[in-house]
Amino acid sequence: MHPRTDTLAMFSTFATFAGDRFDTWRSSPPLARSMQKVLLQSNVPDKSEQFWALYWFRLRHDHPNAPGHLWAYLQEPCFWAAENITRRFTTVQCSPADGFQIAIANVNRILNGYDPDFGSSLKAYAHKAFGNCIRDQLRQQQEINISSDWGLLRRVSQTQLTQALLTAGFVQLGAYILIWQCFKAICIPDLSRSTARGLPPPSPQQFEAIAKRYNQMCQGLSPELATVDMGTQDVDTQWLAMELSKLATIVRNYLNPTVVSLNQPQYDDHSGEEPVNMLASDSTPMTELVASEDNGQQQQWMQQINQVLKAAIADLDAPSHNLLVLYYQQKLTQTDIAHQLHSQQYQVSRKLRRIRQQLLLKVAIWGKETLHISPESAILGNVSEVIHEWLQDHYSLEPPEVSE
Amino acid sequence: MSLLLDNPVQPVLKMPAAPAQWQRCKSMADPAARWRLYLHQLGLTALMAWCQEEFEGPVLPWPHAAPFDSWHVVDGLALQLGDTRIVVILSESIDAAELQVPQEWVDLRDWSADYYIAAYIDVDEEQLALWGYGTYDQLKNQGTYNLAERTYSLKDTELVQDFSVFWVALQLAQPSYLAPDPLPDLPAPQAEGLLQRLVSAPDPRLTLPISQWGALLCNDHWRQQLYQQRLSLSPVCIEDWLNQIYEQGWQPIEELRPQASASRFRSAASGTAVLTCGKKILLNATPDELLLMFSVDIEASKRRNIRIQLHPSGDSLLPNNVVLALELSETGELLKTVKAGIQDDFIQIPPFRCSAGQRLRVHIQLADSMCQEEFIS
Repeated sequence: MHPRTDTLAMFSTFATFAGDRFDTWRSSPPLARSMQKVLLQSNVPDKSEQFWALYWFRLRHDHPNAPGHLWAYLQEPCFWAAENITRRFTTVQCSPADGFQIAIANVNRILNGYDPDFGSSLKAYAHKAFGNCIRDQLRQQQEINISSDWGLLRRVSQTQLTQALLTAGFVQLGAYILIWQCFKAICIPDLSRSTARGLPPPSPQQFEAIAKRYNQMCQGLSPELATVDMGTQDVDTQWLAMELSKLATIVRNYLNPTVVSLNQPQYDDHSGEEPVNMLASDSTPMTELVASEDNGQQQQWMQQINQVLKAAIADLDAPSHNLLVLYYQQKLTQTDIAHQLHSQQYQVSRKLRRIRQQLLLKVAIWGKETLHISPESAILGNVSEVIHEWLQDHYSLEPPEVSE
Repeated sequence: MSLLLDNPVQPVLKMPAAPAQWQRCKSMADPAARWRLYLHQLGLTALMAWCQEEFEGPVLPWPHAAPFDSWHVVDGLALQLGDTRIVVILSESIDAAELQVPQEWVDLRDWSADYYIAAYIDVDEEQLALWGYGTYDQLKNQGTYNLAERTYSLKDTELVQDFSVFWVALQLAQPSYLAPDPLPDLPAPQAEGLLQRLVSAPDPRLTLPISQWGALLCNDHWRQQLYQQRLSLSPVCIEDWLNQIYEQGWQPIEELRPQASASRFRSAASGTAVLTCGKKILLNATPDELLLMFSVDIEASKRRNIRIQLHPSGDSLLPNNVVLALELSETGELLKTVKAGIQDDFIQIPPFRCSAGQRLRVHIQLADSMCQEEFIS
């Protein structure tokens, strides 16, 4: 893939794939026109991509094209995250193009999770968040592959079950959710006989117990909690066994990976229709001002943090420094590092976390004393992200020791 | 985008299986409660080790060392780290996409915590992963309240998914929140009545309005009562023992005790019993387990000769004043009672005869803490 360098393209083109490989950047005409327009109108001298990213981020709920521009902008971090993760993760079959599809579906979640205050750039944040989406998805896929249908049914979340039912075309879900809850209350793994993920089908006695519980629960429901009419008749065990087996199949089908056809438009860009409302109210000097200020603050903040972290790193002992080099510069996995240092993976993990904790504590105390930043969890979380990215940058700038 | 299992800021703790604890949990008739008890015991061991390593001050489980009496009905594992209370919610959900906290941990004054932690547990891989946390304020103000489940939940994106942040926040931040109002105490007769409704309810947690449920739960005595009564919900059947079916923690004496003490018990039971079964009992007031023993002789025309004994778990003596009583289940009529003195190494209900199918209750009590076993002769 060749990175986009032109600001107009960055906010108006989408990646297309040929087979498993990146093919080309496809332009969305409405987004290109919209971007062209703000570029021409802009009074702000700073027209960096960071500025425009913050500009559209601030407008994402108010401007009809803002989500489209952000979606286009985030194509690159998404692609690189997919490329990076799928190459490393070998236990589940997943091409970079598959990874891209998985990750890009999470743009809205990522935008909702991003907080520019005391945080990093949108691009850096998104790169990491896309990577996490893919890794989480692959972890789940692995779990799904090795679970029995019943083990899976017991361990889906209610959200997933609801989605599965809706996807299968069900509308009245209340009774099914209750059946599922009763199943979970009765069928627990017997660890002397099977694993939790290999849960066997319910025994006849268990089906009976589930039916009994279901009937009890139906009677106990107060009218305002009974969102659907469950009927007043008691269900019989046979019917329940049938419905429950159906649920297990629905969940399995929903969670099994489906092949998404590539090159379907990933973002509905309303080609052809020019939204009338956006033509009129496009001039948003206020947003520009805010975005510009955000951008300035973010850069200043990064410079300050840079100073503090450089000093903090210099204080680290040699083994800690060495560990950071292995992890951030040579990009070894924790398991590989453990091999190299003749230690255990969890010890490496703990040591890495302690170093980050130590750095975070220094930045937090500095921030509290000089900038009066309140050390509350949400802000510290942003700062910790920045430290992680800073470590990546810092160590990638240094030439590897061997070449010196 | 939550749980990664290879992220240094999301600690993955070892959580080895504990077959002995699993056996012990079998005394709980309700399968969901049994599973919850088991998971919380595993989780507590793993989390205590982790907290003690990371936190310099004292770390204690809350409200006491083995809170089975809250675990069997409410999800959530509370730890006191110095002045800070955390509640860890264990979940097996594959997607690990949200932190769902029972309302009890938020809205009951005594139970509310400073931080709520989302943990993903995998009993097959024997690991527990901490992947995110939120504060009381977040849960109360940003969280979604689910009326049907009585839970507050935060989505993964709303949680801080970084435990280097957690320990720094613990050092620097002073979580401040308005504690919820305390609930009024329930008068004893009312509490007794509510308890009776809960004993056989399919889901006791959601049976009563939260104000009444909360008041019961916050009271150590009522909470303990509920646990004991649900524990003895399904009677043990001596007929099953004859068919070698042992449930709810009951085991034949040979399996329960090593040879030495088994022979000691035999001699005490004069060695004539056809069948000797025992069960380990834990009273809150004693540090050690006690052993409840039944020896049964089967006589002609389905009559039983039954002897019931209470032993200490080791070679020590019984706690002074512990009471062993036998009553009729249907009427509650007290048939016999014995009390241990200072020097007793066991006490027993004298052998008695009865026909098969009689429903009886054994009652063990020391100070405020008590335990019951229902059985069918």
